[in-house]
Amino acid sequence: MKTRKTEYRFLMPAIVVVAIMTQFPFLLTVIFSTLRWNLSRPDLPRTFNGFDNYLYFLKIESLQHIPEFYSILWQTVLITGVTLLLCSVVGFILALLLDHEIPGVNIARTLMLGPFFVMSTASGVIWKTTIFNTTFGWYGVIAKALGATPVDLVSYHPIGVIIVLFTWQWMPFFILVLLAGLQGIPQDLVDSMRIDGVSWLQGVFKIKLPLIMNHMRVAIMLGLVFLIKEFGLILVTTAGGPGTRSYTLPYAVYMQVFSANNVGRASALAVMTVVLTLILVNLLYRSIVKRNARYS
Amino acid sequence: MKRNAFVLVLIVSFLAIGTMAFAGGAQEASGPVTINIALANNPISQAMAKLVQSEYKAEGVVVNVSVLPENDLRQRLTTEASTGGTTYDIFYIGPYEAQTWARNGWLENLEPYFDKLSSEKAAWYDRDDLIKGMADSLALDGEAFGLPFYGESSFIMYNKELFAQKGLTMPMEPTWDQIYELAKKIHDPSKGIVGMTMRGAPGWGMSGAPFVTMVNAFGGRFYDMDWNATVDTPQQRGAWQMYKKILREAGQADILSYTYNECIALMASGNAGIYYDATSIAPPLEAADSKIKGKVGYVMAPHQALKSNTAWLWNWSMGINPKSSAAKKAAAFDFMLWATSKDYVKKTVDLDPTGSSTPPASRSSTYELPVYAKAPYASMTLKTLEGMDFTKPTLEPVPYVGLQYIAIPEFADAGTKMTEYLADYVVDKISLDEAIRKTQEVFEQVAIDGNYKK
Amino acid sequence: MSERTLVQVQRTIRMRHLWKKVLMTALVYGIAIAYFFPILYMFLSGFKTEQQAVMPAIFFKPTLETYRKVLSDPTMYQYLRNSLFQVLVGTGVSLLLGVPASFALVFGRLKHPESNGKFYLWFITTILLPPVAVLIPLFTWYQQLNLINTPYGLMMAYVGFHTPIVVWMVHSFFSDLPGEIFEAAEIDGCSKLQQLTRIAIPLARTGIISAGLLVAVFIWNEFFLGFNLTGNPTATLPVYMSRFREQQGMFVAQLSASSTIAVLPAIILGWMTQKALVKGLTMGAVKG
Repeated sequence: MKTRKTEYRFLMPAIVVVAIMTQFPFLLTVIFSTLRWNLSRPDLPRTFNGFDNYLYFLKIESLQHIPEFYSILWQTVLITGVTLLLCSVVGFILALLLDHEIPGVNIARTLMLGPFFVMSTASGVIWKTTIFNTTFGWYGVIAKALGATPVDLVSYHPIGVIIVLFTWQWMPFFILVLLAGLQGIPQDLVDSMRIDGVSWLQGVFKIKLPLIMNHMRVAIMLGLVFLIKEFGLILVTTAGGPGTRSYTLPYAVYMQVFSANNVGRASALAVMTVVLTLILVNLLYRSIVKRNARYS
Repeated sequence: MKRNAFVLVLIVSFLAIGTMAFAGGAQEASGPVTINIALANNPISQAMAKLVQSEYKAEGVVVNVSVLPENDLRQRLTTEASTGGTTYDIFYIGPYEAQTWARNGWLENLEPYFDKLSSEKAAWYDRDDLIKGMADSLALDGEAFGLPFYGESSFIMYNKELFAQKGLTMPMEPTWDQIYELAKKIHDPSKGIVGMTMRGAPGWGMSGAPFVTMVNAFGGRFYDMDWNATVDTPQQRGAWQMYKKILREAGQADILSYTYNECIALMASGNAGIYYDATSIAPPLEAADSKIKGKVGYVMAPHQALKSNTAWLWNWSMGINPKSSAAKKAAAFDFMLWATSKDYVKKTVDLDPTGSSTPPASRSSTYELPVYAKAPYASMTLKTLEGMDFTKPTLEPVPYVGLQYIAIPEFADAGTKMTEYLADYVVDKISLDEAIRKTQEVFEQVAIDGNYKK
Repeated sequence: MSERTLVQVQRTIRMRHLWKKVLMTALVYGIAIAYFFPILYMFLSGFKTEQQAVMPAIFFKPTLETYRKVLSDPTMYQYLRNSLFQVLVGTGVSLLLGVPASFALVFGRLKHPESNGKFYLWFITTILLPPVAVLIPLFTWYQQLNLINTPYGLMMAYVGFHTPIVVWMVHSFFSDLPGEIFEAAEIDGCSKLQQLTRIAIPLARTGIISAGLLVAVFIWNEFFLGFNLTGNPTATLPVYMSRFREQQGMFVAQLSASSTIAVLPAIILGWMTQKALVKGLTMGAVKG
């Protein structure tokens, strides 16, 4: 009995703090999402309005008038999805490259890991001012030197810009995880591959890739969890623009609270963000579990 | 017991390290009264941020000044006021906020503070010297809720040198059609010359300001007298098309990233022909490091269907957070008096005779200062200010007041959405029809949500 | 086949091999440097004057002027100090809460045998929760309790969000320890606290340190909560960096110097965690 008490003494503080700071506020958010509550209108009563806040975003009255929410949802999924795809494909190729015995390969690996630890607001402003700027950035200067007219990428291809930056930041992590997987492949398997005369391409896709598929999935899942909540990078590069072309769900929530002051609608949007995250993670998680089951 | 003590020691030592790292930041209970204020990121406010450190002396008071991007500042202060926070003791706001906030009880009534002033101090401050239109825009039923730090209207600035090179002349009271034709003639991308620059970055206080005055000039309005949204009208369409036409055919390349800071930089570099913006923008163009110093012409804000009152009226002003402690409020009021005083204006002129850090359009006496009255933009600024009437913004009657905004709390969001659709439309992401329809829906929704529509 | 030709063939093979290796090396380094370039360029631009920094250039006469200017700005110190506070206290408290919790989850016998797994899963799901989901209530509480003006409010939020990460990472390191040690220690009369502090923590030292370092990096870089739950006196470095967003093409040198200061500590700390990162972050789902 006494030892059990100690265990709870170890466990409870963490649970209490985490619950107070995360679960409890989330429950409140769910409650807020059923209220009509605009901070800038204290003269209007704060009333319960059921699912009205959700319907405001979700209700499709006619096919010509599809609410903004769906495009924001699509943009969120698009940005996250393409980033993860790029990270896995290019990350895999780069991991294969870095899996070679080259003098000082660790230096190259370390350099490539760097962007993963850069705070997103800093990488956002740095890329925006020193690279993407049409007059003062490398992109502008190089484009002009090649005789092309640089376009304002941040305004004309906001989603592309965000995907490039997300990928730049997250690919290092993919490389790291995939490289760990590649290096975990037993050397005698690689040797026997060579003796059996398996071509390089076959070796990569038929043997190496399946062996590190689990690493890939875990990296994708983690990337998903972190990318879907990213906010700072969008704020400093495109600020959701032009228009709402690069809004993602977290950014839309932010705008609902701090620009529209509409607590009710913002909460509804936040709840839907959580639901989306859970759905996507669940899908991925299941595919991992299923695969593990098949292999063991 | 021993274990608990061990854990306790660990926690305490961690907190101690952290608190040492933070030492000096949070001590408020005793010692000097600290008042916090955040200013907008524009030249005249930044000048104040610098002057406070060296010039403002008050016994036992520390003023913490910070400068935020304008959009951040607005959003921050609105949530602060509405949730009753006390991060800032002085709200740095404009007439848009002052009107609705005073009604909501989010601003301290300043009359009791004025009543308590000693007669010397009152004479020194000379309240009647504040420009009436500016003071009125911050008052509710004749009682002041804010003090104007500096004010502005809007006008056209143009580069006389570029105009002379092309043999063009700028009419004293141009129409938007004329401005567009002139801008196109000046525009010369191969030489890096931009015909006209205007704010393009979305935000109701950013591109929204010039754009809404453009809508007013074209005879458009946002609501009829029954609060039906009237965005989908030929007048409004005319303004939308003109804004896009000018910027796409004769404007800066990075249209949507241009706030007034970029516009000023471009204009001051001598590479832009025409610039429509606030009257308070002029001083940096006449500053020593400007390439067009002395070569700038100033004329009235463009008109179109509506012939006069097509400029905007704004001021940056200070109000007191009613949730702050009494000591802080008193200190805040004293600080506000200093910042909006004649002495402050004189000080800035003494330090910088070009007037680029002098707060304009807050006090009549500013225009009597010999150095300042000589400034090329001074007379035009006064002339624009005289014609302003923010209760009659449009050709047809409207149920709202405000020139470059609609004085309802929801406009900050609706106006920002509108400028976002405008941005979308300008860079061809959506059609005019779609932009207009979406904006119409937004404004219609506001009328319903806000219980305006009966 | 004569002796000579065999040697020749071997030499050609070796030569081809060498060439391949040289090409490969050049390729790998080229990619790595290109990838790192934005950071490198930022680092270099900090040594330029504003006039030099306007147009892109890699070769220039370096000066310390800009760094001196940035470091003599008192507001920079305020952000730096706030960030340090959050990192030190936030990481410290997260570890203090998370390490014993993961110990209890791995080796403890809770009331129901399946509780261990359930609590662990609960911590994991918390990581999935995006901060937007808690922002609104936290913001309104903090405004009312005036926590916006103190660093403790943000710190508590950081602890709430990073304790699960500690649990997550440390859990996988503790799971590697053989359970028999603790059974033996139990028999010798070692209390649970002693088992934790004398056996588990020293054995899983490297793992715990890298968990701490990684959490430190996360907190150092965290923007969303830092931006929305602080006032000016308590804002952190990422918030400071975000304020440069309105200054297109201006003050590039100053921006570069400030971001170097903001970014370098995280990169260095991050590099130190490199080895444990894979294992810790993938929940041991893959072998590192």
